[in-house]
Amino acid sequence: MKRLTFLIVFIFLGNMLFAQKMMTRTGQIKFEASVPSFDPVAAVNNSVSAILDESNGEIAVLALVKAFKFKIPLMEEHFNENYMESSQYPKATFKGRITNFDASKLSSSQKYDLEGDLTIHGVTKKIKTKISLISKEGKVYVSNNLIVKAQDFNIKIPSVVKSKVAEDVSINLDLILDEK
Amino acid sequence: MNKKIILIILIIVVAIGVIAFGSYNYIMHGGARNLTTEKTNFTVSSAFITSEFLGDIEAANKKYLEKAVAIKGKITALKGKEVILDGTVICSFNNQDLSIKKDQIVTVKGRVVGYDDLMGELKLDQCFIIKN
Repeated sequence: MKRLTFLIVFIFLGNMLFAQKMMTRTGQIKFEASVPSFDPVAAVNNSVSAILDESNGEIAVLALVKAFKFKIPLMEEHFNENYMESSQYPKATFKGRITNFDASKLSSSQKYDLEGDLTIHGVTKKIKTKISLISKEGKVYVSNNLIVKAQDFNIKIPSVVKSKVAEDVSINLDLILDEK
Repeated sequence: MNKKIILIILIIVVAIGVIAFGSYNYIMHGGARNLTTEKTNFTVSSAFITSEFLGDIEAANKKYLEKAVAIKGKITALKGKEVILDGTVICSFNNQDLSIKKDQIVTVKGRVVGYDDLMGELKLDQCFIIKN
């Protein structure tokens, strides 16, 4: 009986130690689809949610499309109504795995391979990219840069503004993950 | 005669200037919402609105997204411009409100940004306190 209790306590402790979920709700995503010499087409979202499971490297990221802020309110309106159709597709998500993840190596900044499903505008695509991770003072700092094509996600750019909006959209992700 | 022509030219120049300034202003700043003057579309409790999003997210999105909503709840966390009601409604304020405290019951008005099903939280922005 004593051994059983010990075993249960041990398993429980083990879970606490290794199945650490790190999360944030104030992550940042910036994107830019600017064309030189025209108004910058850029926005930032400072309320991105993310969860990283340190036991297996699984990561999930969610951004609400309506939380993207532009400098120009009309641009924000067009982004929501005409391009992202955010009332129909309110969120953009990523679910995937850091393939060569090793929680014990987090103390120095390193690039890892990230694979998973990116869903924007209701269209899901498999992506492969690099992600940087470093652990400092109990927090995990995550950063990634990704280039996506608007047409891959069925986002149509009207021909009138085609010269002012880049087809390649650069997305920057910055997360500071913490235990909840 | 000459004076008349100069006057007409002057009027045209001023008119063009006003139109140009007006359209520049509209393009750069137009379309922004001001929730403090907007009518509140729904007045609900935090438990009620989150249960609607949990029950049928599509219907709740149709009903609430972008709407000005007043939500009543207890402040469970408070950090800078971020105020959390009952652990499930995340309100981001335009300006930090120093008059509110943790555990206080308040009514917050804001724009519904969407439901975050990763964290199980409803997010609002442009928030401010209407009753405490």
